[in-house]
Amino acid sequence: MWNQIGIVGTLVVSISLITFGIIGLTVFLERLYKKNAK
Amino acid sequence: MEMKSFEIFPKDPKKTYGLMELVEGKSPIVDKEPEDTVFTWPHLFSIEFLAVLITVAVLLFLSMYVEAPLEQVASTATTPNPMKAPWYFLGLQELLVYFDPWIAGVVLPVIILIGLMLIPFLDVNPKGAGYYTFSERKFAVSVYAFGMGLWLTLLIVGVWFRGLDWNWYWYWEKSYVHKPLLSGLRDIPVIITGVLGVSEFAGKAIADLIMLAYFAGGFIIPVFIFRNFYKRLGLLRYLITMGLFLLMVGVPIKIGLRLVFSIKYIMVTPWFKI
Repeated sequence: MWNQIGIVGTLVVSISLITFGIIGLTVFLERLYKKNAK
Repeated sequence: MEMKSFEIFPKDPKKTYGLMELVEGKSPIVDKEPEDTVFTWPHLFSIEFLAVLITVAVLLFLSMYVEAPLEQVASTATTPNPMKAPWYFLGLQELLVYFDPWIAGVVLPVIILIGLMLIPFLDVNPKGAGYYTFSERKFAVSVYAFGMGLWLTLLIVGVWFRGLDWNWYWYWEKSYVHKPLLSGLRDIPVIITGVLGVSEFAGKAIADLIMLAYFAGGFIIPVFIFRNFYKRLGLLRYLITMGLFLLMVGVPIKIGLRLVFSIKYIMVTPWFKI
């Protein structure tokens, strides 16, 4: 039971971290880009 | 000694003409702003060359001090357990846990490759070329990020969490002790037959309907919710985009069903099982 929760949790956390990491990086670069363009 | 004149139009007694007036006029370069670009050589090349030198130096020193993770010389007498592919193929190998070999090894990779090749033809959003943006390309960036997250997660699991007999081993578990093989996986048609008390054929038919409902719902519902998205893409592009999107989302759904509800197959046909 705990093993299963751990496995599913690991998958969910990993997918979320990478997905939102890439989105976050894009948002950060977008802001940086706009800041420098001013 | 004659004094050098710095006047733009110096007076010259020999001249038989004179500049009377400057008139504003039109020419092809009217309204053209001064260029703010620089030459590729030497401005870009010098930076790139520096990057090459640093990369080579770092790799050189790394290769001197870090051993390549090579194993013993291959032997026909012993097969390693687990037999792992090179790390960049482990995502594919991890998919084999959840799908039949020809679906995980042939169909899905081909769909992924074709899907990636189709992106330039499916993408109708002209924004975001040459600069970073999320606000102008929310759907594209999100879908890409999710796909990347899914793929890298499968890789991570394959590299660090799979041990003997391709079982899941946590970091603190003994990697040399075999685990009991998983049992008790059931197919959805069998579950339906048991729960509803219908015939085997009806169970299969209902399972097929569930699959059909997933794709039909996935194709039809967004047309009404994201009307503009559908209009911008057009029917053919929309169908291909959503088809690829639904297949991609279907992979983690299938993985979740197996891990959480011990479901092996959702749909069982004589030709393929998903």
